[in-house]
Amino acid sequence: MQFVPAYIFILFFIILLDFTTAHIIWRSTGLTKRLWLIISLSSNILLLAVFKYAAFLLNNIFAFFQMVHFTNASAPSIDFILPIGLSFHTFQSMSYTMDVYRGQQKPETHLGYFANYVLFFPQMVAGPIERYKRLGVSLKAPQALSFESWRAALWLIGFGLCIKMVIADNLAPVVNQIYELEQPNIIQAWTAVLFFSVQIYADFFGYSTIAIGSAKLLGIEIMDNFKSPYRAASITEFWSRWHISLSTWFKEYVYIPLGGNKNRYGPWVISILAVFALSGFWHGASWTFIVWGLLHGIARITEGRQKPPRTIFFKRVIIFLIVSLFWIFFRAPDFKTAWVMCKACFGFTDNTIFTNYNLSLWFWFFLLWLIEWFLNDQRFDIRMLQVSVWKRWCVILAMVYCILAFGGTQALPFIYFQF
Amino acid sequence: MRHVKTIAIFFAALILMEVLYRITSFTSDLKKFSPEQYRLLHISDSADILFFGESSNTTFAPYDSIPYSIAELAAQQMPAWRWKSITKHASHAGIYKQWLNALNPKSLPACIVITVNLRSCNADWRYSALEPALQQALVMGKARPRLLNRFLLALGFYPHLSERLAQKAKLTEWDTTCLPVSKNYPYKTVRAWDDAFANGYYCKPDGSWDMDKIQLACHYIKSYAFALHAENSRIKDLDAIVQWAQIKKCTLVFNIMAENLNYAETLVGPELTRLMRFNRDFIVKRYSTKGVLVIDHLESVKGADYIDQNWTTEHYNQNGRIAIAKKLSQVLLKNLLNP
Repeated sequence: MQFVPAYIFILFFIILLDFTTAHIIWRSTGLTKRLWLIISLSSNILLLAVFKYAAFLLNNIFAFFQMVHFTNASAPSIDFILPIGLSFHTFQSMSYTMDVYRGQQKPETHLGYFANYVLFFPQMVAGPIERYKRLGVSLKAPQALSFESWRAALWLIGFGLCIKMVIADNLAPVVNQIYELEQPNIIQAWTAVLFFSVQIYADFFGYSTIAIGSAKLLGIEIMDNFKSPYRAASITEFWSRWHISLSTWFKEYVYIPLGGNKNRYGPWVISILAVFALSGFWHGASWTFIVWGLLHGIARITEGRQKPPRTIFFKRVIIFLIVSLFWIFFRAPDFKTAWVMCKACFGFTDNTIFTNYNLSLWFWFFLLWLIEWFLNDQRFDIRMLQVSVWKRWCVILAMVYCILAFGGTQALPFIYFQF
Repeated sequence: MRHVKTIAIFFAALILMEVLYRITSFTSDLKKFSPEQYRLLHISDSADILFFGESSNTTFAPYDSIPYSIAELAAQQMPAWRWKSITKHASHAGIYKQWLNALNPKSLPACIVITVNLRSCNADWRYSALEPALQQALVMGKARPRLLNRFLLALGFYPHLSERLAQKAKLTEWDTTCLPVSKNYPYKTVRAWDDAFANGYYCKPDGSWDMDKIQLACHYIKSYAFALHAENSRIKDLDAIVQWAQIKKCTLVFNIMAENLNYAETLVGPELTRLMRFNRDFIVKRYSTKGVLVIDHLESVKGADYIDQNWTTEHYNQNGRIAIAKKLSQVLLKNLLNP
């Protein structure tokens, strides 16, 4: 993942392609309409396939051929650098074309507005993946900038920075260190599993909040991407609270077209597994991501199609632990590492030496829960307006002090930048 | 007016935060992120001679029976003087320059010994992958509000090139810088010289390439084939150190470390050792006239006394360390007044 100036042409290509095909789709009917949709979508997917999945696909094809003794040659080496944010802006652009195809969105007549929608900098690199009906309209509307909106924007940016720099970046080195061990013990394994759950949430939630705040500075509202996901009492609820823009994208453009909840049980199971496997594959070109997605899919299927029962604290803890264990496949670089971690979590490890980690790190782990308790299911800027001025000042000063004095020192990039 | 008040309160709070940070966390952060600067804060008032070194100071051979560093061995020769040393692997003049600023200005040592490693001036070291970590360890000691230093440390705000840019800069220098070699010598750049040796310069009796020898020869070329000049960043750093010492009225010693010249000559040829001597002479001439005690050890250590026989390092066994320490202490005893 890297910013290569020449790759800006990929973005221009996506913009011109989807802008043009949307107009053709809008004017066409029947088979022609469908054909143009397929051209647009397949071009976007082809870009993703070339830059993100080519090496993975070739390696697997050649491995299969070797397995059936078709060839002994190994896959040619492909060394494309993944353009930063490619998965996000292709998905955003595809959603526009599909909305136009469905008649839910009129094609944009001004190329500049559409380009701004795809290139809108706060969320271009790692989301939230916005729909045109929301961001496009917001970009066109006259922007009313006020002290209140700037203040809220700065609160959001500060809050996002705080949880990224203080929580995610302080936990990341410990997680990295444990995942590099050949034989972690049970305490180390659980430390890594729990810390990574909090790290990835603080990292991505932090980025999304900064993106929302940056957009707000320009007077633009973009959607919330998280809603206290670790308060979920079921996997279904977790996915309605985690990376909301991606899960609604898959729901609207993959799950519902596959039949959604109206399916009979068998096709429903298949569609759930397909959606979750695709979601995993979207994150990265590796079987570990696909397994991570499938695990969520299986957990989702076991919950059935009924609404989950009333939330109880105990269930939230169980779901948090399950989701945390699933993250092993997301974080591990390969199946071997994932397997070692899974075994260690359940005590199947020869390493019984207790490693004394700096216990103060658990403070950052619990700080996230304190923040969740403070937020009470609301966005930070909205919550801040609900508390007294004194409390507000205390929160702001504590936040600023934490950013200045306790930021992690490894200056780690956002995890989702690699997708 | 309301907003002015809010901003004023915020800035007042920032000042209080700075005070709070200094009281509560600064010392532990300095110890954690810049341990050398933390030590410097505490030792400068208890030292007459301060020795700055890199791995050459504290690397021992497994067969050594004398487990003392160069600084310790020199200190043993000068019992009347209180010696303190700070050693950090891969450090260089740019790092020592920053360390000097961490000294307590009210109680400076009488003499500061700076290790000058010729290799540290080459492109490979100047654009080394270790440089970001060295620069990171300096942030906490910069002369800025402490809290700001801590914040900049978290942001990764210190001078460093990305690995890609550093590599590019290094290769460009190797490609384009003309070396002052003899007129008839065919290799005028590091790149050309390295290429010539890399393409089968040494062969085994069976005709195959002697890769071990080739690799080592190429490494010698990349390490020592350069010519110092006033614009070399290490020379600029040494200049800054001299300036600092002149202002603070400290005796400054540049301790030029020994290199394996015999091996360099056998492996690559006399052109390389000529360049090595040229660089040594450059430093001796430039700084002797500026009041610096330049101690030249370049050829003081026998080839057999280098620990790494198949790589270019300034790691000496006890004989090498003793030779350097002895010469260093002799020069100091001759030139320093009694403590």
